[in-house]
Amino acid sequence: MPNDALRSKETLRLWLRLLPTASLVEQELRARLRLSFDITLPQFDVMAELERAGEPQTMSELSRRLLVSGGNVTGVVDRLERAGYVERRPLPTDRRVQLVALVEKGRREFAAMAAAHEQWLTELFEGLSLEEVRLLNELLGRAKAVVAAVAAQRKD
Amino acid sequence: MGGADKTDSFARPSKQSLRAWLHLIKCSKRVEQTISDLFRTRYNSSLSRFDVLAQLEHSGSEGITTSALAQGLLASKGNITRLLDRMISDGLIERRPSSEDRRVSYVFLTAKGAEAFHRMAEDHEVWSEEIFGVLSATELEQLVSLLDRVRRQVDDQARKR
Repeated sequence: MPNDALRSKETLRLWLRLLPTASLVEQELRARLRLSFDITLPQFDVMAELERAGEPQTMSELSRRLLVSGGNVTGVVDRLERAGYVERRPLPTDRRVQLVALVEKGRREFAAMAAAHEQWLTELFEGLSLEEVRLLNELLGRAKAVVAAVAAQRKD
Repeated sequence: MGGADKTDSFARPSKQSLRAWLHLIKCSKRVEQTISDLFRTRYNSSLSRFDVLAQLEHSGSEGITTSALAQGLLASKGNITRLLDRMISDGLIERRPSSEDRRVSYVFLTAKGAEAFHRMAEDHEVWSEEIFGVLSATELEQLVSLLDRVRRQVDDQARKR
């Protein structure tokens, strides 16, 4: 087989692995979060973002970070609020803008969820040695970096 | 797994696995989003549509049931019935009842669908090459095999759960 054909076959193989592997891991995390903490992955992600930011965030900041539509974030925050993990507060300088804050109960619960989440990932990547995990990181990181460039270039 | 791997997994900083997951999900979502956008702007189509066409092309003249089709889709599934209905009205695919069991229907590619698929597949190949072109042939192979092993491990664990 000529080199080009071989390469494009290998690229296709990667394409056929990347999405399914990511969704498989994602499904497994979803299932475990639901079973252990009765929480959805987007809810977990919103809490993780609030914890990471260390201060209340606006709805639009949350939705931009999470790459989900504004409508979705609203529903997610509603459910987190009902569970008593977050609360909405108006921005002091502009009361039309709503901030979302992690409350004490949410912070405590999130710490437990994050620890379990990290432990699960260690289990899920257990099939690889530390060196292999690092290699995986490096290769995915490089591919990830060019995707944005390709998208920008193609849009012109 | 040998003894050496066991020791290694104990010593492993769990942050590496967390990072691997974040890289995996971000890379996958970005690739999915980028290719999806390109299909939309160029063909007024989507990755899901391409995905359906690719599976039907692969299944050949025998066609495929809706449930088998749904199972094999790579991209986010969404509402498969509505997607197929729209593709039928666009003349890309058709649905026929099974000759053995009329409650079961098979989905087939039309000539127009096959033509659309080939045009899209060519572009898909070019775009994929642009994205994964940063990796050498050896690295592509390494990545595929690492992902395969992750998948097997996750499958095992999901079954045990």
